[in-house]
Amino acid sequence: MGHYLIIRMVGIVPQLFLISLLAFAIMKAAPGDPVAALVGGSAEFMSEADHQRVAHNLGLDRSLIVQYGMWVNNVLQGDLGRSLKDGREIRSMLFEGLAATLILVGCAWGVIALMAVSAGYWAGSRRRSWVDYIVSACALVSFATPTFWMGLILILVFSVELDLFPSAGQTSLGDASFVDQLQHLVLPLLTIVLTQIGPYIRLVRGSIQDTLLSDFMRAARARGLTKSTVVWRYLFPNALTPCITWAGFSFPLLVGGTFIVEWVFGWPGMGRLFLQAAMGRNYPLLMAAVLITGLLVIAGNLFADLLVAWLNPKLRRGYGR
Amino acid sequence: MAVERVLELDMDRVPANPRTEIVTAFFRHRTAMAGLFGLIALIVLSTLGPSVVGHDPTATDILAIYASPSSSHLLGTDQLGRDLLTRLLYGGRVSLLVGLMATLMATVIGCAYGVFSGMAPKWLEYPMMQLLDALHAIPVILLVIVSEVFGESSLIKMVLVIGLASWMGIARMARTECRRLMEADFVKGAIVAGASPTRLVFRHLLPNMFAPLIVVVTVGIGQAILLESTLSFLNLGVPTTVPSWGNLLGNGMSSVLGGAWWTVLFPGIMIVLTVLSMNLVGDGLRDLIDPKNRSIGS
Amino acid sequence: MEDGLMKKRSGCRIRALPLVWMTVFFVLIVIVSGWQPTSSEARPMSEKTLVVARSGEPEWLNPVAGHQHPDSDMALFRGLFKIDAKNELVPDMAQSWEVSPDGRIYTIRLRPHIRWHDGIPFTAEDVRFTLDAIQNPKNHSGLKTEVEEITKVEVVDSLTVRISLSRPLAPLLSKLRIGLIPKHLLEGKDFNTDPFNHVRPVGTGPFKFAEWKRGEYLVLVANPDFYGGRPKLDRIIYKFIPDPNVRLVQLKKGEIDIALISPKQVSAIRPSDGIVVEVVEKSADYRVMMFNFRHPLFQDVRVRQAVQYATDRQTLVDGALLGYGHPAYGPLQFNWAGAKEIPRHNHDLKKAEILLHEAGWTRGNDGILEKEGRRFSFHLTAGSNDPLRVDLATLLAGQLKQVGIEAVVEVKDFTSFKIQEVEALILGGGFADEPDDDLYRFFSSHLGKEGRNYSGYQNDTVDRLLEEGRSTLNPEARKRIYQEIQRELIVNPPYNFLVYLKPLYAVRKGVAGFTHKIFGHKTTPLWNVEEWSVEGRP
Repeated sequence: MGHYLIIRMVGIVPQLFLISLLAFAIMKAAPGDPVAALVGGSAEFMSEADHQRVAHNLGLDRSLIVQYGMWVNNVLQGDLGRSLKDGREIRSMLFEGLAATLILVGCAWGVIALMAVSAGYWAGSRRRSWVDYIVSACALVSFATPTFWMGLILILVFSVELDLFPSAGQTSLGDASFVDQLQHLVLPLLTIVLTQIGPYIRLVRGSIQDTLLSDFMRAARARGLTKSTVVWRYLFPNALTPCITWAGFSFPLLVGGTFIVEWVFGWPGMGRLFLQAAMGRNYPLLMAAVLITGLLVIAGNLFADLLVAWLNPKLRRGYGR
Repeated sequence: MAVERVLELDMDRVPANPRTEIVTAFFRHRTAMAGLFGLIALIVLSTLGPSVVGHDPTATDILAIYASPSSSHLLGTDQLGRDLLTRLLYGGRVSLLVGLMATLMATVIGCAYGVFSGMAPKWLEYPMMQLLDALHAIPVILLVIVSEVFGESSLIKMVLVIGLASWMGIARMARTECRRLMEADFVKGAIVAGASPTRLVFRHLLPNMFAPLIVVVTVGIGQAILLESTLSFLNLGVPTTVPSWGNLLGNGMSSVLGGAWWTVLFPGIMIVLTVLSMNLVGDGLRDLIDPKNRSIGS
Repeated sequence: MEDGLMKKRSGCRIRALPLVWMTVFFVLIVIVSGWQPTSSEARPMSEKTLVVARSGEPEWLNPVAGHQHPDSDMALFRGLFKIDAKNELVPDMAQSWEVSPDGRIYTIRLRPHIRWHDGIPFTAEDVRFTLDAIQNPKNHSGLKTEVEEITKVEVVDSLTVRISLSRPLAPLLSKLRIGLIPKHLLEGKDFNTDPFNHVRPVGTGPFKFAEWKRGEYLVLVANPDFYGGRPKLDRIIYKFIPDPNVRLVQLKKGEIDIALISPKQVSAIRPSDGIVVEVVEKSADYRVMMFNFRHPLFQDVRVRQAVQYATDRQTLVDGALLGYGHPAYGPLQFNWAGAKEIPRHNHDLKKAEILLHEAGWTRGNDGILEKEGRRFSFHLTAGSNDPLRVDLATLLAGQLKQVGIEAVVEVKDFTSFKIQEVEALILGGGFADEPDDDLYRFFSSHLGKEGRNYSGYQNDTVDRLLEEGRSTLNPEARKRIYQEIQRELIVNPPYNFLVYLKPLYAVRKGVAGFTHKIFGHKTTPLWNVEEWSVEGRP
């Protein structure tokens, strides 16, 4: 396991490098005044002499490689620059946003796991029944649905028409109780879950079908194992491995979907910040958001891979191709 | 990585003429046929529909603002009195075109990269795959939005942007297939017989990759359409003067609270149906290639 | 033995239970790490709170910094004067004043016993400090050009201030509606970055600063020592909601009490929602298509006049505003200096085509005008956060197409472009009271970076008349000057004036204080916020 860990960690380095390059490229390619991009909107009021002085301090007159080095150095020390609009420190903005996004992502994973396993088992164990068809159809349709549309429909039905849940934000003003936060969480969470769960259901269903149909089942029963033992100790774990693999593989998709959901529901997470930065052409914020998102995805990928490898020693041995 | 196992397809058995075999079996597969039918209906509607319906998609009619579905406006009108059905059909053209072209581009780039790295010696292949993994780690929506932010919006740019963001999955699959095929006897034989790399690629590798490739491509078109609609919804996609399903939904948001439910329902349904058709076709193809292989989802 | 079976089937050993625990653990970690402790203290809901939706968030709360609008914030800061329900100038923190016969020296006596929010008394020193800060080139104040005639501000005694001007400035008292800032807190500090701007603003208004959560809301609490009497409300919360649809949804669900709505949202409000829609019949808030004079297409005056003739303003009112508006022909239609008898350019396609032909444009094969190989095509930009402007742009583009002009509508987030750089833009503006406010900084050509002449309009006649209008004290004479300006603005148009709005505000039942008067652009109905109350609510 340790060997695998090291290999995997080394594999991260090019990913990190690439993400940092992308983020840096955004900064450099941003049209407009590069000083303003780093100092914020007050740059337009600076005198010419001040402008040059600040430019020199920021190293804007040095080569690109040197600038990249300086930038990486800054980032590692925690300085992510200032927003173009109001000069606020991006670092604090992003970390607030990251917290909110993690809530959505974490809960989404949990709910997806629960729902996929239940629905997948339900469908897989009743092959070709109406349950199977309905569940599979739902999985197919939900995966074909654009995330933002799902969100809009949910808002319309459950928030505007039925008035069951709030339509935007993470909390209500002046009332930040746990129940209130839960209420605000429901619709955005549902949107993410419904649009991402399709493949998981099919994976679980497929795995359960395969195993149930196979000789294994008959042999196990012949040996006297009860159905529930078989289900809990062998079926589910077997079904979960491809799920975790897919989870790691599709983590970027999940993060992307979460971003859109944050936008539609006004959820104050990193996705909304990112989209606001994109629409407002707020390049420093955009750069930082891309960087942090990239790091988040790399971390998620790594975790999923490590999890699968830990559970499945055969894979570990076969990795070093 | 663990991913290759998931995408594993059983190609050890190389049929004599894979294409006709698959095609005939395809016609017997029910859901795939449903998907195909949906697609054809869509293409016909988008190309011929607008002339049948007869309205001008940009013609505003202030007397018919927010008209509900009726005989003169089958699907109603939007906030400026423009006929929704016509705009929907024109939007279909845009979405289909962008989806198709972008996926085509992604396929070309992906295949090139995948086959090249599959044929390359280990020392070159390894960094290429690392690069691929790294690129794959960035959420596509991030890449696309960042690219949209720079420069003017236009249809060509959208195709480029979506294409450049989507080739990674195809490349990975192409490389896996290529690796596998390189081990096959008939390929080894061809190499020994002195086949040039070009001949190898075009006569031996690519034709045998066709099957899994087409699966990934059909699903990819669906994903591209979803991407385009999301971008257009955020006003970061096609230019605003061009109707696209995403645009219509963006407009619809302001209308729906006033009771104009048709502005949000119909464009969304179109997107779902289109992507669903694509996925069904892709699924059908995948089932045909390897009935044992369980889908990993679209 | 079971394990042996497993191996045969799938070839791996899986430990189920630890797997489950790991997943649960991980998910919990993720959730817990993101969970934030509730930041705002629990507030007793018996407080009288007004929740106001605002589409934009201010960059900072200092009324003198940046390009603030005098009407946009009457809650925290007050000035020497203010305008009342009839849009007439009345004293606010001033009590009385005298003007020298030549109009160049103003002596203003201040109201006594006014205190800043932190308890320090307000004196003439603060007035001088504010005016000096505006004029200081190091400070980023967009108000510099408003008061460029001020040469000296003297403190005669703690309640008397004397302002000297280089030449008479008729709108001086109106300019003195600027919110005043405290000397004792900002003297010697870096004006542009001091926390005063963001977290510790201190003014003399009826409400004090409580909390500002960026991107979310701004909370103000009542100032019990307000010189005009304690306000009836205990608390105001401004929620920043740029999306008009979200505003509407929150309004209907009772999460906000008052919001500006667009005409097309009116039909979404049902009688059962408990909302009153206040229609402001007359407002000075206009929308125009701004020509960017740096673009060669618009430099010929005949072209601009043709665009004016090609515009069907009544259709714009009906189509985009659903009737809630008036056709606009100039900037001062609802101002006291507005002219009734100036020639108006009505919808006349023939005249438009003749003018374009005279300017050398002929129709090309695709129906679009051409001249010397160039097509008459430009980008018309509209801010994405205002569907009204987008509608105006779309309808206008359709109208211009009929005379062969191609306007390509571009919808962009309004923070993503600089106004000076777009080819044409749907812009808003308009003041209800002081004509100079609306005209000087937009149309005068020598203000440079500090003015707001985004279009690059340059008209010597207008420049001269604007200066005269500023320095003529006699109201009748001023009126004549402004009417001449309006005539000139039609003959040589900087903008294609489109419509005047009838603003629509949706207000919850039980909220009192909405007073109808002629609003200007960005005037909020909360101009008299100290008189607002929420009756009949817990």
